[in-house]
Amino acid sequence: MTKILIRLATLFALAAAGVVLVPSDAHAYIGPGVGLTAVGTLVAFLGAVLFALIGFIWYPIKRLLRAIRGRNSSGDAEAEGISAS
Amino acid sequence: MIAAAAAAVVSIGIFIVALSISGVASATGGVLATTQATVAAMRDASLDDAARERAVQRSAVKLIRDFASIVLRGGLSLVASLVPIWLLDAAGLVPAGAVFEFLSRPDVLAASTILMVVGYLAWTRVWRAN
Repeated sequence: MTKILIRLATLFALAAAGVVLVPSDAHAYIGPGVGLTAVGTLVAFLGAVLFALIGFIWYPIKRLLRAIRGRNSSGDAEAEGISAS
Repeated sequence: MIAAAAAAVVSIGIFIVALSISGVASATGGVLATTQATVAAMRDASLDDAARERAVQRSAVKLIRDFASIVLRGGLSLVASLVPIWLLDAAGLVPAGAVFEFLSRPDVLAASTILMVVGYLAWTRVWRAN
């Protein structure tokens, strides 16, 4: 496990050194500050969309289905009561 | 070259200060906490569906607000860091292109990233603890 970690760290260090030594500008870089902002906005947006779908669509539909099912079962019970009498 | 580097350092410094003042990190932490609490509420067997529905709806509205808040805070921090570059360019002291070119160099990016991460860790673990 430690050997694997050392190899990974060496690979990462070599790759980082290679990137730093390349004499070209970076045009697609996200630093820690902007990265943190990006993570925050992404999680907030996805969470808002998902919870809005669940809270404003799924739960009301579930409640409606339960009410319809409840009405049907009480209707059946009433019908059975009428036929029995 | 030295003027561009100095302008870049000022810009990075203002960005770090603006980020810490605007509280982007705490807002992001709040978003993660809200998401975890909502998932926990949805899986809580002691709550009925009506309570779960109310909790999820509240979280959805809160996350929309948090999304707008983080975008605004991050955008303002970015604009604040660009102000000195624009001012120096407008004054004819340092061309903005030279500063952006300097800021795009891989060694500058690596150094500023490492400094920012180390500075943040030092701030949160050492200074704040004392």
